[in-house]
Amino acid sequence: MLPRSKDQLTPTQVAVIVCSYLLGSGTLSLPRVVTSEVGTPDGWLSVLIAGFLFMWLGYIMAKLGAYFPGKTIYEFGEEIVGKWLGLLISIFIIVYFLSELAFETRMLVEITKTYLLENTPREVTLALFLFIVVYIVVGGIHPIARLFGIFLPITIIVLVFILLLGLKLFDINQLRPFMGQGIIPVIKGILPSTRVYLGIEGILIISAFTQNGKPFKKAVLAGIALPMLLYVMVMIIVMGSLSVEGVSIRIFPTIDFIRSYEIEGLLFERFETLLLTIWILQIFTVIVSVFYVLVTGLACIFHKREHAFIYGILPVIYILSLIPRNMNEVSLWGDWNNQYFLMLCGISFILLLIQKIREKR
Amino acid sequence: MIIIRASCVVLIAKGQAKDIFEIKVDNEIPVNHLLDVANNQDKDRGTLSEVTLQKMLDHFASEESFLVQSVMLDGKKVKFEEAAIIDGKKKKLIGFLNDKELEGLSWFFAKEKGGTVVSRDPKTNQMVVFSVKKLEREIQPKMQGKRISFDVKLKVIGQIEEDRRYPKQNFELSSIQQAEKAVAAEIKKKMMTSLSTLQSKYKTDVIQFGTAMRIQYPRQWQQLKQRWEEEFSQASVNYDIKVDIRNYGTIGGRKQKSDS
Repeated sequence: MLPRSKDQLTPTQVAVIVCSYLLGSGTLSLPRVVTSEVGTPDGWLSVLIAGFLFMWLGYIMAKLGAYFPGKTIYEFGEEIVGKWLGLLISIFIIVYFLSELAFETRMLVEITKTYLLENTPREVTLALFLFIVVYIVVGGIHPIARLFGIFLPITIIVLVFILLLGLKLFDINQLRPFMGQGIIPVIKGILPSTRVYLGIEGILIISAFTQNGKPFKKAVLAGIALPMLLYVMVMIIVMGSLSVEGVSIRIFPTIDFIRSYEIEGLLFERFETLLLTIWILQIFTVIVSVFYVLVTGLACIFHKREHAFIYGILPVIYILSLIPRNMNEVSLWGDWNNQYFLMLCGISFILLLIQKIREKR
Repeated sequence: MIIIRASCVVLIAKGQAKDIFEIKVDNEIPVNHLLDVANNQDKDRGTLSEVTLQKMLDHFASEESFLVQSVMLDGKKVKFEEAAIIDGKKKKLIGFLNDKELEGLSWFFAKEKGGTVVSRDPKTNQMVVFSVKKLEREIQPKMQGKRISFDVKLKVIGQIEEDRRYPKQNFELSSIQQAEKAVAAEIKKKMMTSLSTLQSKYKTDVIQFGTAMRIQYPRQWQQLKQRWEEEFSQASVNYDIKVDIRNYGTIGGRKQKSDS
């Protein structure tokens, strides 16, 4: 294992990491994924409700981590439920991370292929991208935190800017009626909305690098609240511009929305390149995060240094991410990952309960 | 195929589209000229605001009928005239509205447009030309049992551009009110004739009454939208048009004493 350096992450850095970990591939397809389930324009409400749900779950994970300062879930899992069950949980988490990592990488390649580099083979984009990821992961959590700190403000500013530029397409009538079919469609939308909050499980590992106090919990909540606001904003603006049915027929409604307007006399006329740029930055941060927590897990289980795993895992990711044949299979994979993710949230909830009972004894 | 930009402007050519792309105006690229003309149509109620590919896709996805501006050649110039009616369910062009019909319909949906109304004073049959500065519109659907009706409330604010009434009496409030009534009646007449053509001849809702229904009666709309075309052509409309003249230029006049 790499020695965990003494200077720990500041609360701001924790918030930045959590936020970057959450903002990812979901942003582009979110309006469709939610609306095709909801069927009314109220999808943004589902996203908001899901956001509060996950702030609560994030708080639980932070609390769980707070019981074991300096330890990740791979280590304190064993302490709570015993060696074998703990190992099982660790393996479960590692498999999940591996699948998630390969999925996110494939998403990135898929978008790059469709919108940016049409004639470049997938394999090339994939390989080059993985090399950069490895470069940053080898450095450890601190360089990662600093890099994310540079990317995040750029992302937020650009995203809000290009969303607001598209307001001329916005028609409030597309969002009306508010809850016309009652609350049931909104509840139906909560499950598909959960996928954009995928990433909060990272808290279980980051907690090892912080002083577990109130500031940590606050940082976690802030790290979830910020993406939540951005998601709700994306939902409202994209839905108000493309209508319920229009959103449901597009694979990536957010990109299509940005591609639906041109602004004359503002240096650029077209803005989807900006969106794709920040989106690639964000998916990069996601992949780096997942890669890092995955490798940490492997190192913990086998009690070895991380470096061997960082390089060893590369071909596995490469092969895994090239398995799906088309976009539909990739989407299906995303659904699986989402179910894994929800199970993981359930597990951490149970772990906290057990820990509380243990504490009382 | 995948990467067509959805911000393209869609126009429908009457006749051969290729002829329109071959126009020569001041050495300009024909498409740029078309876009320039399209951008300058916002004063005229007889033309439509631009429909982009994205809007078309969304209309088709929601099965809403809509209008697209049509273009034709007039000698060597392009002319923006008429509008194509696109049926959202069949996804086909089902006919063209002429400029008069389009102008009448525009009062139902084109909010941001200016435009002028030529009306005649009912007493003296003299002409009053009114220009629109601001338009407030509200469409309120009503369902009583199975009967559907719409209350269309229109508040038009503007000024008199041309006043051929003589003797001039614009310093009197009554004279202005009379002009307001004349203009309101004219607008109502235009709306009614165009709507009845739309309801009887084309039986398609291109003026977003369906949207108003969807918002007001979301539950009933689920069943209604299947046969909306029929329901729409049966629907009755109540008009409430208020014209507000804010300005009439610099020439007025009082009533002569002998008149009263």
